[in-house]
Amino acid sequence: MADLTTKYLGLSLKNPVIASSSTLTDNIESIKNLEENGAAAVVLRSIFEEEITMEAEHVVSQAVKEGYDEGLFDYFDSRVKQQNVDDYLDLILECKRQTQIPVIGSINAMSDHEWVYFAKKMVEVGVDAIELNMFLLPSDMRRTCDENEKLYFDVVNKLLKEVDVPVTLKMSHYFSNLGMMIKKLSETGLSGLVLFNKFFAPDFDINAEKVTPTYVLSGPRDIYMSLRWIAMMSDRVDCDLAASTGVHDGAGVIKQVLAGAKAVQVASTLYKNGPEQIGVMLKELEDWMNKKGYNSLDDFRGKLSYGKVDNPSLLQRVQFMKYFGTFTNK
Amino acid sequence: MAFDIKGILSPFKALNQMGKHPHTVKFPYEQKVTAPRYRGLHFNDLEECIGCGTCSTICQNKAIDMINIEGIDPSSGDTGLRPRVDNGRCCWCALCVEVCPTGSLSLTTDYIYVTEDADSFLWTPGVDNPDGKEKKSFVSDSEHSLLEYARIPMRELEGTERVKSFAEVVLGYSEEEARKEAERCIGCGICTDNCPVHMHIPEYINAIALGNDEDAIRIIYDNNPLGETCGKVCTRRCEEICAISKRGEPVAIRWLKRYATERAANEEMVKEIVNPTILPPNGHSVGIIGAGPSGLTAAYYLAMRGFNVDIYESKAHAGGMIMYGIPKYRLPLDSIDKQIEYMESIGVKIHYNTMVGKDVTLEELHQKHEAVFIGIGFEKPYSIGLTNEEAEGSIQAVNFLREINSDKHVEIGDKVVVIGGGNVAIDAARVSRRLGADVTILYRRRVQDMPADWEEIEGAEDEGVHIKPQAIPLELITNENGRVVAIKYANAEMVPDPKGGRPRPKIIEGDEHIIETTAVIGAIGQEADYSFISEKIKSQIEIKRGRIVVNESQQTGVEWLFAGGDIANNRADAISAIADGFRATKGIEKFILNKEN
Repeated sequence: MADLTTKYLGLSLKNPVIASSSTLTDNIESIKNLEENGAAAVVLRSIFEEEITMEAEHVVSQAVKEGYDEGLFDYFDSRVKQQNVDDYLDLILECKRQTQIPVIGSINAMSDHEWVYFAKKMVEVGVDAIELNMFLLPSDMRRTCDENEKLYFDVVNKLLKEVDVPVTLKMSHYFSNLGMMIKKLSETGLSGLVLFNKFFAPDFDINAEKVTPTYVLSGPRDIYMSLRWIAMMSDRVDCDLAASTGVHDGAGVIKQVLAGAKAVQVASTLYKNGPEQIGVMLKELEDWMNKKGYNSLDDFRGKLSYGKVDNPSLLQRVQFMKYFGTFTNK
Repeated sequence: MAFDIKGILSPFKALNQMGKHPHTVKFPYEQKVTAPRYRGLHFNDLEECIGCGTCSTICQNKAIDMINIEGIDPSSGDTGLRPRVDNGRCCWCALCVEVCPTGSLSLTTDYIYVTEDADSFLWTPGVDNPDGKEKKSFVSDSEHSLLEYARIPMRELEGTERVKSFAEVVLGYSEEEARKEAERCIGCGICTDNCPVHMHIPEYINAIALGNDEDAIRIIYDNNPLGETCGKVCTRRCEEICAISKRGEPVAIRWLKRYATERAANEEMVKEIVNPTILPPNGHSVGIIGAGPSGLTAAYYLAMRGFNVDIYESKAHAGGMIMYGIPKYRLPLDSIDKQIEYMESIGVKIHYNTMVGKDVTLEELHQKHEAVFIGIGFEKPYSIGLTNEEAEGSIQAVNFLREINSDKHVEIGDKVVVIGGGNVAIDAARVSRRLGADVTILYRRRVQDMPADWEEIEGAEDEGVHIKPQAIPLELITNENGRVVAIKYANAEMVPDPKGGRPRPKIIEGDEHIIETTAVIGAIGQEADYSFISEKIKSQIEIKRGRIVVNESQQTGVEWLFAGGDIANNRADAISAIADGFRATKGIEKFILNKEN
C-alpha cells in the first residue's frame, strides 16, 4: 500500500491534499466533513481586514440614517474587528477540539500592523500554521515595482519576527521577475509558498454594458501556471511549495508532486464535486503509485522538476513556434 | 375798520414758492422717506425665525398669534410656527421686535395696508411681504435688544489647581448669579422639546428667577429624579437649541438646574420639599436589573405609583455609569448618595452586590416579578485591537474609572497614553492628570470630530492634557517583563468619505512614531454584556447593533421584559436613560394593569 504521507510547513500530513481557504472552511461542520473525506489539513477562510472595515461602515451608515449619533459609533470598526477575530479564534479552537488535522489560519490585511495582530491572536489559540493571503494589484501608478515588492518582504519579515509557528505565503504571479521573487521570498524564513492564488476577476456584460464578476471556480486547465512554476522553482527554493488553482483530480495531484510540490490545495473541485472528491483524488493517486511501483511521494516528488527533467527548456518555453505550426484549423 | 394792504398782497406771497421743490409727496408716484428706525409693517425672516412665540407672548395688545405655514415643518429647535399680526390691534410699539431672540422679526418702512375686508387685518410677515427684507427699518440688534445675550459665567477652579485633587471643578452659581442668569430666559420652551425627558425647563427657570427655589426643585423632580446629576453632567441638548443661542450664549440651563437641586442639602430636605405623593401599595411587583439612571428612574416613579420595586445591582453602590464611570470632580459621591438615599426613602429597594445571571437568573426574576426592566448600560469595553493589548500596563478606561471611583489604587505611572476621543477617554485622561501623570490622548480623527463634549475637551487641555489628533495606534511595545513601555502610532491624513460620511483617517505610510509610556488606557467604546439572558429569551428579543430593540413603551419582544438606557437608545447619555426609565414606568404600569383587567 502506497504511503501518501507528506511533510508540509513542518507539519505531518496524512496525504498531500489540503482543503484551501474558502467558504467550505469557514465553519466547523463543513471542516469535519472535509476531514472525514480525507482532507489532510484545512486552511481556514481568510479573515479579511477590508471585509471588517466594510461591514463596520455599512452598520454605521445605516445607524446614522436611523437617527443615531455618528459619534456613538466612533470606533465601531474596532468592535466589528473584535467580533470577527473572536469568531475566527473560536473556529480555530473548535477545529482543534473536534478534528485531528492541522489547522492553518489565513489572513488578508491591508495595514502592516493588522497582519501581525491577527497572526498573534491565532497563535495564542493554537493554530498550526499561518497562511498570508497577500496581494497587491500592481495598478498603482505611483508605486514602482521595487516598492511593491518591498511591501511583501516588509510584512513577511515583520510577521516572522513576531510569531513562532510556520508561515506560508499564498502568492500571485503578478511580478515582473517571478522566479527571483519566489526565490527571494523563500529565503526570508517562510516555511512555504503557495503557487498561486486565484483572484476575483472582472468581466463585462455586453448587453447591460456593466462590469460583472467572472465565473469564480477554476477548471483543470488552470493547473498549468502553477505546474510550470513549481517545476521551475522546486529545486531552487529554501521552503516548501504547495500548488493551488487547477488541481481537480488525482492526475493533478500527481503532476504537482512530480513538479516538486509538497502538497496541493483544492477548493473549486470540492464545490463542483463535493468533499467526496478528495477521496476520489487520493484513490487515483494511490492507484497510480501502485501501478508505477512508488511506495511514497518522495519516490517521485520533483521527478519532472527543472533540475531533473530531461528537457528543462520545455518548462521555460513561452512562444508556441513549431508547436502551433503543426496545429491545423478545422 | 382800517385798510390793510397786507390783506391784498398776502395771496401773492405764494408766488415766492414758484420754482421751488414742493413739500408734498406726489403719491403714488413718489414715496415718502420715513424716519430712521421707522416702525411700519412687520417683516419676518422665515428662515431665521424659530417659532419661539416670544413676540406673541410679549404683545400687550394680543395682536400676534402663531400659525402653521405651509412648507415649514417643525424640527429640532424650530416649532414650525410663525407669527401672524393683526394690524387692527397692533400699535407698532415694536416690543415684539425688541424681544425677538433670533432677530428675524423687524418693522419696515412700509406703512400702507389696504384691505377690502374690514374684519381681516391679519398679516403674516415674511409670507405676505417677501420683499420686506429690503425695507427693514426697526430691527433688533444687540444695541437695541431687550434681551441679555451674555451668560453669567460659571466660576471654576483654575486648571493648575484642579489637577491637585478630585475636588469638583465647577463651583456653582451664587443665589444672585442664578437669579440673573434665570432672568435671561425668555420662557419660549423650545428647549423642552429637545430634552429627552421634556423637563419643564421654562417653569423651573422662572421659579428660580422669582426666587422660588423650592418650587424649582418640585418642578424638576416632577419628571426627573436625578435632576442634581443632570445639573452637573447633563449633555444639555436643551442648550444646543436655546433661542438665545441664536445670537448669544444659551441660557445656562444645566447650571440653573444644578443651583436649584443643590438648595436641598440632603435627602431629608429633598423629601420635605418634593413631598411626593406616593400611592398605596397596589400589590404588583417589578424587578429592575441595574441601578443606573434608567433603572433608578423607572424604580422611583413605579414606587410612587404603588408598585413594589426591587433593583438588582451587581456592584456595591448604585448609580451605574454615573457612579462608576463619571469622575468625582464632575459628580461628587455626596451628590449621588443624596439622590439614591432619597429614592430609597420613598420605597425603592436596592439589592446590592447581586449579579443577575450569577446570583439570580432572569427567569427567576420573572417568576418573582410581573415585569422586569433591564438597564445594565454599556460596561464591557471594546478591545483596542492592538498587539500586546493584554500586557501589564494596558488598561481599559471603564475599568480604570471604576477602580478609581471605588477609591482603589491603579498603577499608571507618570506617563499615560489614552486612546479614544469620547467623554470616557477625556475622563480617563483628566483622572490620570490628577494622579500625577503626563497625559497624551491619541485620537485617529480631528479634534472637531471627537465625540466628547467640547467643554470636556477644553477642560482637559486646560489641565495640561496633550491631544494628538489624526494618530492611529499600531502596537503596544513591551519590555522583557511583558510590561507596556511604549506605544507605536502612525500619523493619518483625512480622506473624504465617498458615501458622504465623516472624513476617514488613513495612515500616512512610513510616518510612524513611538511614545514612551507607563500605561496605555483604551477608551474606544463599550457595549453591553447580555450573557445573563438565556438563549430562549434572546431568540424572542431583537438585538440590533448591540442594542435591544424596544417599542415606544420600552417593551422588548418579550411582553414582560422592558429595557432602557444605553442598551436601548441612540443617545447613550444620562438624560436619555432617564427618559427611557420614565417611559418604561408608563409602559410597565399599562402592561401590568391591563393584564389584571
